[in-house]
Amino acid sequence: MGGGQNLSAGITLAFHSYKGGTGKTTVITNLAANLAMMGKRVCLLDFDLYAPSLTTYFQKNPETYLNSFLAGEAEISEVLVDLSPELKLNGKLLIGFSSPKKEDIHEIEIDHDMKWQYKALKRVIAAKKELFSKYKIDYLLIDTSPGIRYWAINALAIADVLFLMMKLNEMDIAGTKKMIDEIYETLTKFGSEYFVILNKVPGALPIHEIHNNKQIITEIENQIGIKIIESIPCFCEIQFNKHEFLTTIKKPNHAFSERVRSIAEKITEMEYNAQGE
Amino acid sequence: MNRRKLASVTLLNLGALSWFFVFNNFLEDIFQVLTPNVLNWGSYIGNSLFFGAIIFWSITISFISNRINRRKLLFTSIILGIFSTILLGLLEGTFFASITSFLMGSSLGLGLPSSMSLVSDCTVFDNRGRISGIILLSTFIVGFVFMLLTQILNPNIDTLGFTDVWGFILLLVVLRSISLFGLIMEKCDNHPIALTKTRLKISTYKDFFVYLCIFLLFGIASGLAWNLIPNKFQPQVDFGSSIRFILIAIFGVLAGILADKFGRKQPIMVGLGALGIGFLMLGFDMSETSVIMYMILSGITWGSFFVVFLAIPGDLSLPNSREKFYALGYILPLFGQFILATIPAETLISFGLTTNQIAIILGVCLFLAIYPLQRSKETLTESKKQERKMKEHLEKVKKLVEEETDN
Repeated sequence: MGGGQNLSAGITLAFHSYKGGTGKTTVITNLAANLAMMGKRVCLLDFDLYAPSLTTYFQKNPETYLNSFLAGEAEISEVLVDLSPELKLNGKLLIGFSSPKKEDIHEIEIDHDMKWQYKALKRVIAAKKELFSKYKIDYLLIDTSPGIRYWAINALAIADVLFLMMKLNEMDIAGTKKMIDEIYETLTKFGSEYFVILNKVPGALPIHEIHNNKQIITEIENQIGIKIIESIPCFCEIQFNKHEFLTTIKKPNHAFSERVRSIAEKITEMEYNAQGE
Repeated sequence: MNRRKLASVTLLNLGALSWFFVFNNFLEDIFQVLTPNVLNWGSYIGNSLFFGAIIFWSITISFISNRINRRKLLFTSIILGIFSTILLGLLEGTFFASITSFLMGSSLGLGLPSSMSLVSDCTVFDNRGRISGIILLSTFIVGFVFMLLTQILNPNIDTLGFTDVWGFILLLVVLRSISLFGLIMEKCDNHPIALTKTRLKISTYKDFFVYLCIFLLFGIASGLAWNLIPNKFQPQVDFGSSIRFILIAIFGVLAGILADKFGRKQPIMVGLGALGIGFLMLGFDMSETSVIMYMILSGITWGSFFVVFLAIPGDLSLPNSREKFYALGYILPLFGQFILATIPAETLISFGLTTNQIAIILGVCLFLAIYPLQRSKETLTESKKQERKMKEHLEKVKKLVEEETDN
């Protein structure tokens, strides 16, 4: 596994996609909660700075956002919100929210020069070290912006393992393939590993037969040239819920929760295998 | 990028191009040695058949290349090149020299479109310029070394007898044989996509035509310029020719970097600017210094243009049309330059033109090249530049992450 030097301290996982609407945030939040349910110490940072959604998802209004931390106006400890007691988790779930305010998004997108951006990036790298050493985090999960944007690239560079969320349509597959050629191949030179998670996989009933279709998965794997680690079917009750919130906690026996659990298990296996090497 | 494939493609092109440039440099002298009884006509016949064969076979092969095994074609071309070069030293007289020059030209025409197409097959938009530059660097450094060796072996090739050209011929044989190593390293078979029926848009041909206009005007201007320099400056031209090889090599690489970073039009602009200054110097004061300076500036121009010659056909073509684009890319300027290079200096001056006036005409040719340059499509698009910038940024960030993590 990439970033071998970090393994004893923890792994950084980034979730990325070619375009929005792949269900990246839904999967990453549920995965973070699932890992914390398994007794792991997890930190989830919202680096989808251009379109943050974790505040809405968790219905939180924190005093300090990641934006202030990036600007050097706050420490990482001031940003983190501990949701473990509230969610009654065995482990730890710390969340760093980014600001949904228009002016803050605009500031990140346009106002800052490269010098500021590099300073901010150095602060993130230092914070990552602090999270692993001081907070004894097992997994640092980063939710990134879709596509090839400045902070999405930074988040990918910080991570050891990358997960590309993809829907089963031609545009998504072609875009993901393009992104793999343009960005991910460069990252592998530095030892990063990446996998694809198929999400919102459509099909006629019975749905499990479709999303488990090995032939389709193999075809797509050949097409994009990387391993598909999990295939999650499309669940209307999750996608079109008025307020979608941690299915993995609310409905642990739901098929979606099973899939998320499967990803969590694979991640812990990855860590185990890498440490065993 | 597959380094083995890159090395193979470099060797293939190096062998063909350096062989051509070294031979071309002594073309007139060698035909005068081989056909002493027909004086200047020997070199005209040799020239015509040599260039004519290149043009004929390049066009023919470009149309049927998809149906021919590329490896066999390249092998035939190299063996024919070696064989005809050896014949050059065995057969004397106008008739045999004509056959030999036709065979030599055929060798180049058969192999060059495919050799050049392989450059595009193993490159992508954002490294095609640099790789082309590297191929030019190796071609002209090797060419320079062989030019020096030729001059050491046969200091006055035109005054020597038929049997004395063997040193030169052996050097040419070695040069042409370099391509064989390229074929040994890689199979160089047809690209699988080459067999698909994908068609190019009409607009792509138009875009390429616009670039051809620039190449043609450049060919005419640089071809006419040779006739501008009176024969009394021959020693400076000879000295400058060697320096020019080095400059083409160096500026080929620089132009390649420029082409990948800022676009294909940038090296063309640099080249046209350098050539314009060269014409200005020749027109202003025809002297030993200005001739040498012109040769230097011409080296900068050719280095810049060669990269674009190699990159543009690859940028615009599809694998199944590469040979056509490459053949057209080099035939027109080659033809223009051949025609104009065979016009003696006295021809233009006999029309009542002074050297200053000829220099002005050359300047106008360059000025006219600005129009198609302005109309030409930049093949290195903004999105490609952005993509490269993003990759560079990613590498920079990843290194920063590694440094900061280690501290």
